[in-house]
Amino acid sequence: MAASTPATQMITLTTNDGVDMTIERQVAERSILIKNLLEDVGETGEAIPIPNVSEPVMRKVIEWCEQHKKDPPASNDDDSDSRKKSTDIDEWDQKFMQVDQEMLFEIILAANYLDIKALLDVGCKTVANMIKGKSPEEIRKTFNIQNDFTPEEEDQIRRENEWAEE
Amino acid sequence: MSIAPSQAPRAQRMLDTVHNNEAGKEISTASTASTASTASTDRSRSFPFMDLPTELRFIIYRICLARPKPILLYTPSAQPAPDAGQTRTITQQARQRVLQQSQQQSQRAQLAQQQQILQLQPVLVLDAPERPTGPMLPPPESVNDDPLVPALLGVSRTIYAEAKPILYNDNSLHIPLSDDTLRKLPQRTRSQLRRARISYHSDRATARAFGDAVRLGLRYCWGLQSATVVMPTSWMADPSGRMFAADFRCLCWLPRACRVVLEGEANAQVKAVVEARARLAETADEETWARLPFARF
Repeated sequence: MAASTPATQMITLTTNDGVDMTIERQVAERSILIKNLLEDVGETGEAIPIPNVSEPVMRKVIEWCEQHKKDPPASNDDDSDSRKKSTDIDEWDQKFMQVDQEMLFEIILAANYLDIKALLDVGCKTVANMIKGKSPEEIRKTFNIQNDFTPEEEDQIRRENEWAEE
Repeated sequence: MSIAPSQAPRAQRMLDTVHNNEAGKEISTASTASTASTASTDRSRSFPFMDLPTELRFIIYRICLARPKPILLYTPSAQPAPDAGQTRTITQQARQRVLQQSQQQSQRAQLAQQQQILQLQPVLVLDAPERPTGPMLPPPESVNDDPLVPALLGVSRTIYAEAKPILYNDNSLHIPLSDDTLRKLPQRTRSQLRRARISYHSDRATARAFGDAVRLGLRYCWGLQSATVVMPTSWMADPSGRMFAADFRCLCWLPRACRVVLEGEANAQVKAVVEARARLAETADEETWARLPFARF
């Protein structure tokens, strides 16, 4: 496989709705799935099919990858950084995630499928932030979930885990 | 391989895309525009949380309920007010007040220890001291201060079943002395605890509270895999070291599979008790193990 100028090398992805998207290889390689695929297959010049992601979602994912293409690889220490709260999100990422619920859902699924851990983290933190400080009833509304507890069970669960409240 | 439907539009699209890449920000602009238009129509829709694959739901549960630092297993409202028998309101300020109180208690205990050492008073009064009146909390900086989202557990049966083990299995829980939050947890919940921390203080009153916390609380955490004992930074005078070692015999009440870790400085006699317990946990028969809290070893 040729190792020449990987920074400017372009590759083509084909989304599940049949749209071809040509992007920098460095940007695409934020996806571990695509990175491994390119290493395994080599430079054939053929478009890489991404059968689980549609064009609008892929555009958002690429937008994120463009912004973060120069980020250093995540280290294991990142998770245990005690100064950072578990739901802290960078300002740019917060704005990026101001999308409708369906798009947020699709971005999370795409990040998981494409194996982009940092994007998956941002997506999941965004969901966690949606429910922070809310009551169970408010969370049910946010997620459209039916309450299947009896009032007694609800009260018991609340008392049992009261210690974990702020 | 499934490729684009028609060649002419495909070439055009490819050109557009290359152009967008060359132009740098254009992809993001187009994308933001498309997102904005979708947002206006769909923003009111709820997030389909239960449609996420289970492993992704678990990532969100961990963000809400798991923390790298030990979490204090403590309910401020459960403690009776010092004089009146009323319960306190659950507020962050109340919790903070108790944490400050705990720091003051700990400072007073250290001062008392220093005075005792200076006056060389005998400290072998095992029965006389009373247990501390309030909870003995660890220093605030040693426990988690990143709020959890326990309300998630009360949303539905599925979420409760999936997320509860994360709160109790994935976290290290610090058990304060002279506090009954752990004892009040249902047995099925206590059994889910995997890692616990407990502070030992060598002054007689709190050493007894340490024994109570192990014998009446941690003993029933049947799934406990490790118990970390945080050793004191200052010790009362006991040249033989035997008295402190006796305080640690209560660890024999812990479930057999639980490993005891001493964090900080411990004298040889204390270490010997912990090592003997670990040895017997591996070798003793059931009957010997059951009698261990009452036996000499």
